[in-house]
Amino acid sequence: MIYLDNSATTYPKPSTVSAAVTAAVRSSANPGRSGHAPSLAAASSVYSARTAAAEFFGCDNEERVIFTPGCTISLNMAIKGLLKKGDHVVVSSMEHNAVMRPLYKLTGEGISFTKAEIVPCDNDKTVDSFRKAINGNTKMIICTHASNVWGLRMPVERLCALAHAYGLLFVVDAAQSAGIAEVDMKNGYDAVCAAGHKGLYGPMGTGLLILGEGILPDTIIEGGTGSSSADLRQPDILPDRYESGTPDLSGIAGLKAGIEFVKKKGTDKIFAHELALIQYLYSRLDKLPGIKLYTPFPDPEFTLPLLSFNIEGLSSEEAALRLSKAGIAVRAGLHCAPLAHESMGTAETGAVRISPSVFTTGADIDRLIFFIKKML
Amino acid sequence: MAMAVIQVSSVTYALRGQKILRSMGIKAEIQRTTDKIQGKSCSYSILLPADKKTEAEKILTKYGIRMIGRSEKGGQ
Repeated sequence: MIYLDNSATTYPKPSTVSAAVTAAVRSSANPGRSGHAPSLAAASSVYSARTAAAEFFGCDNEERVIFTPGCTISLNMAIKGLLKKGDHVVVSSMEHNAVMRPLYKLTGEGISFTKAEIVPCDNDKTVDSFRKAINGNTKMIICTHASNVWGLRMPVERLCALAHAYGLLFVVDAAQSAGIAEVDMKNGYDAVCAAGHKGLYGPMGTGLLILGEGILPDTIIEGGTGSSSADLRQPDILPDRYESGTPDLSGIAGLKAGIEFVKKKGTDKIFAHELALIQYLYSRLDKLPGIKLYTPFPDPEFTLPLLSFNIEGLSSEEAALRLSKAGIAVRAGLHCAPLAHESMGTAETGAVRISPSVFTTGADIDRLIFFIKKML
Repeated sequence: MAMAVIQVSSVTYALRGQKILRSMGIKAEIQRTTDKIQGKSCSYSILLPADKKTEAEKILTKYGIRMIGRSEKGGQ
């Protein structure tokens, strides 16, 4: 099989990730609960993963790195923990439902939002679009670092500066970018939400919420933390405040191995490898009659390496099914991001998305092109 | 050998404190808190040589490690 659905989850995982998961399953006790040696060893394992993640994201205090079951949970924690009745939020026109569904639910509790239109490859106009959407009640800007459908990269550093200039919080959805593009807390982000199982090559069921200094969202889940148990109030210390319940030790161990893999390869080299493949694919598809492309040629300043398209006369799901029968795994449909499809006029049709990983080769892309041509 | 016991709120604080102290040349070990100190429960403690207690406390305070209790054990 040729796997080109890495924006959903990277596959295969590095062998070091599988080994770390297996080792943790075989040897683990419950971390942070007991004083026996296996429990302390498990706690040490979690702590080392926390410090690795903090270092990777430029966070100078590992206590502010929260392990979660995924980016969606991280976003829910940030959104529901930081917003109050009467608050207004500005989001991009490319947001995933992991942002939009929590916000939509909160509209029933007196919270409102405005969608800022993204102007592809024009950061000045995009920033201006966000500025115009801010009103007197705006509390927060939430923006995806890169569209999971179109790969369009948002100027999050400038949007963060804009937010802070207006006294607003800035939350980054780094689901697609972590491990492929630099996500640095030193840019002043108030919260970064990331998936552990995509560009960081960890196991599914892992995610991260990284909080800026002084940011202390209300909790959406409370419970046992192994600390201050006589007190029925949820602890205010980090990371305990946001990590109730037994942690996913094997997942966290795998995530650490994934982060180390990415660090060793180099985010910039991974990005360059994947972008070159996507640029090659784009240039080949652009010459084929019957192929509909929606975005400009992938420019590293404005794009993360993925490409979505359609084939005339075929639904996106039908095209993906035919590719699957040919042994090529891609994703079609709306990709849980209807806003992004509305922006490009594909809300009714969806699109076929190609997303490579560090393991994808030029031969894989040639094979894909071969089968696409057969469908024309 | 007399040991100082510095109680902290969580295992993360304990591990972070241990890492910082060791990086500054102070031997530090971690254990589950065995004494109930100041009415708290379920916590971890950093054990270190008693003669390093004052220096260690200053370091932990500087790095934002919240200490919730102190005691000593052992020695003659």
